[in-house]
Amino acid sequence: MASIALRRLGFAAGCLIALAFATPEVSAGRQTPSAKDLSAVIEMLRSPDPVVRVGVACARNVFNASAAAAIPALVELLEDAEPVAPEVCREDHRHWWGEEHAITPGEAAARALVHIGSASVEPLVKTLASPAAVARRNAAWALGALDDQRAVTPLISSLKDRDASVRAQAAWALGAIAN
Amino acid sequence: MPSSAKILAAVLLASTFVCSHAQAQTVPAVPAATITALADALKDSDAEVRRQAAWALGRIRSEQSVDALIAALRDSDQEVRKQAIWAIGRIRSPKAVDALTAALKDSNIEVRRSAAQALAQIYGHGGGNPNPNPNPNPGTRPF
Repeated sequence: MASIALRRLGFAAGCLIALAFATPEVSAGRQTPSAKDLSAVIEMLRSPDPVVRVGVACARNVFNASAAAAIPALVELLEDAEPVAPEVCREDHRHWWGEEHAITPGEAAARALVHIGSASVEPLVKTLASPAAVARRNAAWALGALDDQRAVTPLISSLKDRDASVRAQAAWALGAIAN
Repeated sequence: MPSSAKILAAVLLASTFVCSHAQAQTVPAVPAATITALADALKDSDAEVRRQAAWALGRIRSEQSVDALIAALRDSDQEVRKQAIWAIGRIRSPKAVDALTAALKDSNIEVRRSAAQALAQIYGHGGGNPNPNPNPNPGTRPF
């Protein structure tokens, strides 16, 4: 019962957040979020509520090359493994993982960093040395998705990571960068 | 005029050389260190690491990794064997024919099927690309 109520609550919050960023200018993709919008986004990425953190990190139209100011807050989120109902991240989440797969703020942040692009590479490479295995794994994934040659040597080192899930993700990333 | 034909031929030769040279420089080859490291990862203690390493080597398609992939055909994990076969099929290495023929007698039907497809690819009968990435682990999220 409690978990269903929580899911409902998560869904409602997710919808609200999605709505907040679905203003015509932003969703048309012509206008990038203003510095003021971006500072509100960064504040919400640090919200104590994981649903808010995921919902904001998932807002697709916010994170592009001009949202580099959000990189530090997103990098901090990479180690955040609190599972949230997938509805919060609706559109693209359901498409790839199906309804039952929970999503974490760390995964959502990794995708946002990929959307920001090239400026995320160096902070992600640094995260490969994070003490948190979850953060290292999410960073390895993002580096594979970013398809940037600068990540090759650091990812080769991650093939010797003490955590198996990081090693697997690094192997995947090296294959994703090739060709 | 033979001389103008010669000039034309020379220009053509030069331009093909320049073009191929330029292309070789703009498309960076996968560093040998990547292939060596992934070949080592085929011997990792964790099966998921071995699967992902085989997938990555299949993407890279380097002849340099074929020996390591052939060794992976004896892996205890059937998904690793399947993924290694998929990679060998993409590399189209004739060197792997014996190992693939042996894999036709694998205990697992999917491994046997992959081996048949890989052999078809090596012999140039298409064979298609049946397993582009059969093991996307939950962590390897498509983008």
